[in-house]
Amino acid sequence: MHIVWTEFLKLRTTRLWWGLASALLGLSALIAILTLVFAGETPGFALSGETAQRSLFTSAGFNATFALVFGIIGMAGEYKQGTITPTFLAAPQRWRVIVAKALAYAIGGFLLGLSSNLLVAGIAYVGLAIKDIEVVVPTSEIFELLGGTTATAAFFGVLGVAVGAVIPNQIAALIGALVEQLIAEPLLFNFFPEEARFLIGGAGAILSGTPNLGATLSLWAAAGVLAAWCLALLALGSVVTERKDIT
Amino acid sequence: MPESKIVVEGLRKNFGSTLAVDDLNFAVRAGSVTGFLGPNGAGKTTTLRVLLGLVSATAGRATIDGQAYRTLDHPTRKVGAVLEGANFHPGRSARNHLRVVASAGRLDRNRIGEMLDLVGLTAFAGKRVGGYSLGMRQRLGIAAALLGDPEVLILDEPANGLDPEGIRWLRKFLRALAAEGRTVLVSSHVLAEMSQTVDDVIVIGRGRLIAHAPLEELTGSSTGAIRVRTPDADRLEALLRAAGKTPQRIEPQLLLVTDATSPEIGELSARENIVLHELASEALSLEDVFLKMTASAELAPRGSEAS
Repeated sequence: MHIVWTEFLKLRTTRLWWGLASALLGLSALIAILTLVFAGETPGFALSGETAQRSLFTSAGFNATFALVFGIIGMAGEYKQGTITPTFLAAPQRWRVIVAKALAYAIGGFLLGLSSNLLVAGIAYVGLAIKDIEVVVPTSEIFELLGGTTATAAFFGVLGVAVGAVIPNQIAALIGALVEQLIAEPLLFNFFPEEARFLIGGAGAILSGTPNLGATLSLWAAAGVLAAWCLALLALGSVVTERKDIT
Repeated sequence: MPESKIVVEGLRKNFGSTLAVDDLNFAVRAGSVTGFLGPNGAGKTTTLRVLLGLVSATAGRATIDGQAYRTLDHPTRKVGAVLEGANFHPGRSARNHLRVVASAGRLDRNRIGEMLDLVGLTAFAGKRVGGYSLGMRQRLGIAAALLGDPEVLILDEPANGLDPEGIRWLRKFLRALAAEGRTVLVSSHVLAEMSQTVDDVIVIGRGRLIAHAPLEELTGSSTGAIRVRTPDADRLEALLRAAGKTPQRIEPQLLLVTDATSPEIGELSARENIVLHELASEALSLEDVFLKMTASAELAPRGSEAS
């Protein structure tokens, strides 16, 4: 579909993508380096242990939040800038625009996840080698962690587009999504530790290898839960968008 | 009946409890420049946005070549639209904006340079739109609308933000587009901009059609006033009143008469040996007609106000 390419062209021609990507990479690197430098000072968190190393390798674990913000701005930002008008003039069947954005921002989220994970992994391997510390986390598990967080970021890019379609007011969408992720879900985790795995954040945590829940899911099942959330919210977003008057 | 390119039938639009467009009907003939006029808040923008599939109608329909905009295959190849407001990402350059428009509508990218030349933006094409003046944005909007080489052009208040030179440019430009056989529908609340540009005029007020006619018909049919300048204004005024007319004294030596013809006044003056310095019939401008019509529409009681 050519409008997927249009979405990539839109991304390439503003600074949003580059700004978000460089902020993410900078922060990820910073966290990885800080972990390398200071991990030994926390009791039970020695760099030679699995816990600290796992934490080191997931230094970019917050990249899904970046992907979410990225997707929201990608969709709701079109309303904010007024570019939604030419967008819908060229593609008046609006659901097509939403599908195109979902695909483009899945790839965008994937790239955000992949680049930050690769950077962190590189820093971790080099840092541990310099400190002459053996990598005790099995390589297969490292792949799983990095692959899982990258996939989560891709899903969250799509979720951001869906949230932006449901709530076209960019600020409201950003605040709503962040409150849901950072406050509402952690509260729900406490009250419903069993069911939390079916929430967006819960399934995301499982998929990215950092679950903190009462019950877990297989990685594939977690991916399935996220995919279901994406489809449901995209469908809702499409209905809202088709009905909206662009004034 | 010439071929109609744009047809609006029984169009009604409510925004909540506000009735923006009320049973509006009109057709725009192919190859003409049609002025879509009305005071601010008359429903012009809403009508145009319904026509472009951006706003859904509460009742009725608006079609281009018999089709609703949303069902057109390659809409931006058929219809070019210049709408009000910020339709550009401030961080994107003009050239990149046109690249996005071309990509989204599958338009010929080779026309980008041509369109930038046409609207005189080539020198600024690499600059971010955020730094553009209102006039430059209007020009960019026109370039984007023309990118698909559309046969129909819809412009909402394109003269806003243009300086006098820009307005003159726009007029010539719209005439040239119509001369190429395109159909142009252009809205405005400033009549002076339009009187030298349009073939037909559609006037709306409070969401309803007030008039739809060729420009000459609209300005010609309304009776104008006769200006009479004479050093003997007192006597002429008295004579006219005696003849049952109602002259108005505008200046010490100037009368305005709406219910007598210039031959009548001329002959009366000759009989009475009154010297005339000026005797001219004052044709009504589009502006006068417009104000007269929209004013009476404001006063007229509303028939079917939706709640």
